[in-house]
Amino acid sequence: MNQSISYDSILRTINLSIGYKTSKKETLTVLSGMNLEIFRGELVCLIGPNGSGKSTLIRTMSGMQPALAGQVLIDGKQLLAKDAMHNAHILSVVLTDRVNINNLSTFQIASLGRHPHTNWLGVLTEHDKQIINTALSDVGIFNLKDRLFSSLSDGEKQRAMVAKALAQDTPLILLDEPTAHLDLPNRVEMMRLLRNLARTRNKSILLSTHELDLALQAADRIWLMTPQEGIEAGTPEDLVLNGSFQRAFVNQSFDFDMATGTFRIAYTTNKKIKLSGDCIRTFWTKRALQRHGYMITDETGGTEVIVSNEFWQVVQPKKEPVICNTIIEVLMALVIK
Amino acid sequence: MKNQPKHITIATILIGMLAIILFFADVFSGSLHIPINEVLSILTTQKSSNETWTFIILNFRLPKAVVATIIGAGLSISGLMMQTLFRNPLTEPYILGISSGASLGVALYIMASTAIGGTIFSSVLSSFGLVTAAILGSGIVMIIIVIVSMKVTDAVSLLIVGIMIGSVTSAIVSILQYFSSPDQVHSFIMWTFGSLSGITWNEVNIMIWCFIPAFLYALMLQKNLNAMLLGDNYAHGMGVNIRKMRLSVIIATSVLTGTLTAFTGPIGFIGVAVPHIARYIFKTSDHKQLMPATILIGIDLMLVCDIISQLPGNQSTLPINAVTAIFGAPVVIWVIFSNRHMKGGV
Repeated sequence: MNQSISYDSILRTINLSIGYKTSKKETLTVLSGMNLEIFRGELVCLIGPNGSGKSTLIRTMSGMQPALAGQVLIDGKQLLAKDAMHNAHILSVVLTDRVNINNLSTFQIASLGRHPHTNWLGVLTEHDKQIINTALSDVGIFNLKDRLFSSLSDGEKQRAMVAKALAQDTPLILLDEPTAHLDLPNRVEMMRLLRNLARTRNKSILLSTHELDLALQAADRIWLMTPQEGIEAGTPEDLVLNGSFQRAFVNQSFDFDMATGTFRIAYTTNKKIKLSGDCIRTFWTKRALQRHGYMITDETGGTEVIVSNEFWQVVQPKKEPVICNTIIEVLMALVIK
Repeated sequence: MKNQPKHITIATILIGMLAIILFFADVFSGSLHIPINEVLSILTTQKSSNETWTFIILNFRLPKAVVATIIGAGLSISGLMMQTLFRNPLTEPYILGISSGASLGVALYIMASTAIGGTIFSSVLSSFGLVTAAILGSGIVMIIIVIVSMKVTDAVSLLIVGIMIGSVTSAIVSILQYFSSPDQVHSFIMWTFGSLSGITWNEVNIMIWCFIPAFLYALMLQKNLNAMLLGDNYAHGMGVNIRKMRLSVIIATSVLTGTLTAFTGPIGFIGVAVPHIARYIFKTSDHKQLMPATILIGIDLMLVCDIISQLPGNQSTLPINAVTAIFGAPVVIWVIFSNRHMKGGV
C-alpha cells in the first residue's frame, strides 16, 4: 500500500511570475521567477501568512488566471490559461467556493468530475461509473452515494468534492484551503485522507492551508510563502531547522517550540517560579502556570511547586507549605497573601 | 430511491403522452364546436363534411396548437438555462431585457405606422411589419447583451446590466405611450397581452426555422449546464470555457425568446415557473433529466393555458398572458406545498 515517493516531478514551474493586471498598462507582480517542483505521489502544503499570495499562486497554477510570465508544466504538458478543457485533463481542483445544489445526489456530484472525459451528451459509461464508485470509496463516503448532497455534513461535502477531483482522474490535484470549513477532527481526518490518497493512488496533491500544525505533520514538503522572502520549498523539518518557518510566523504573540514542533501563544511573564517533579502532571501544570504569567526557572529560594503523582505542594517563602489536589487550587494558593 | 433513472424515464414518457393528448384537445377546443370524429378526419385526410370546419382546423387551430407547443418548449428551456447560468431561481428568459427590446420595436412600429399611413390598427397587429419590428428590437438588445457579456467577467454584473437595459427600454416605451393616441396605446397593449391566434402557416414556418436550430443548440448545452451547477470556478476546473458557455446560453435564449416574443407578444410566467415545477416533480437538478422534463411540462402547461384561454363554450377568448399566470401560479404553489420537505433553488 504505502508506496514511497519516486522523486520524478509531475509539476514544474519555470520562471513563473504571478500577479494581476490592474489596468491595461500596469501589472501588480506578487512574486516572480519561481522555479518549483512537485513529485509524483507527494503531498505538498502551501503555507504562508495572509496576503503572501497563496490564493494567487493557486489560481495561476489551476489556470484560472494567466501567469504574468513563465510557464507551468504538468506531466510534460503546458498549462494553458485559455484552454480550460486541456487543463481539466491534467489537473483537478477543490475550491473554497460553497456548493449549494439541492437536488443532486452525492454520486451525481462526484460524477461531474467525469465531465472532461464523457461524450457531448455527458453519458456515463460503466467504466466511468466504476471510477466514480472507486473515488467515493477512496474518500470513505461510498455508503452516502445515494444521499442528497445538500443533506451531507460539511466534512462529508468536502469529501464529495475530493471524490469529484479523484473521478476527474488527473495526475495533480490542487486544493484551496480544503480544511477551512471543518471542525478539528474533520480537519485532521481530511489531511490524513489526502496524504493516504497521495501515497496509495500515486496522486500529487498541492493544498494551501492555514493549519500549520497539520501541515508540519502531514506534508511531504512545504512551500512557504512570505511577502518578504518569496517562496521557499523544503521538507517541514528542514524549514524548521533552518529557521525559515519561525521567521515567517513567529511574532510577539507567538512562540514556536522547536522541541515539540508546536506553536505556543506567547504570554507575558513577570513572576518567576520553580517547578519540580517529572510526570505528565508536571507538563500540564507548566502550561497552566505559563498561561497565568509565571516564568519557569531553576532558581531556588523563591516560590516552588512540587508535583507528585498524588498532589501538588506549593512552597512559598515565609509561608506554610500548601497541599493542593487540583491545579486551580495551586493557582489560588499562589495568589493568596 | 428518488433518483432512480427508471422512475424518471416513466414520468417523462407520461408527461410526453400528456402533451400529445393536450395537443389534440387544443385542436379540438374552440368557440365553434366541431365533432371529434370530424376533427380527426380533417387531421388525417384533410377532408370533412364541412368546408368551414376544415378551414378552421387546418388554418386556425392547428397552427395555434403548434405555436403553443413551440412557446411552451422554448420559454421553459430558456428559463431553465438562465436559472442555471445565473444560479438564481428567480431568473426568467426575459430578465436580460429581450422582451423589452421587442416591446420597444413594436411600440415604435405602431406609433410610426399610424403616424405615417393612418393604417387601421387591427391590420397592423397581424402584419409582418410588427413581427419584423419586434425581431429588430429584441435583436438589438441581444447584441448589446452579448457585447456586455464579453466585457464583463462575472454573471451577477451581467444580470444587473441586463436589468438596466430592460429598464431603459421600458422607460422609452412609456415615453412613447405618453405621447401616443389612445388607439395606438390600445393596439400596443393588445400586443403585450400576448396572443397565439391569427398566426398564419407562413409565420409558423419562419418561427420554426428560427426555433429549431436554437432549440437543438440549447439541448447540446446540457452537459456544460450540469458543470455550471457547481459554480463558475468549479466548472472552469472541469474544462468549461465560462465565457463561451455564457455567450452560448445568451444567444440560444435570445434567439428563442426573441422569435417567440416577436410573433406572440411577451408571454410571462412559463419561463420562470416551469423549471421549478420540473425540479420539484422530478427531484433532480441533472439537466440530462431536467431538460426533457422541463420542455414537456412547458408544452403541457402552455397547451392547457391555451385551451383555458378559449373559454370552452364561449365566444370570447382571454389574453394568454393572464391565463398563464392565473392558472400557472396555483400550480407552482401546489407543487411547492406538496413537496414541503424540499428546498427551492437551482
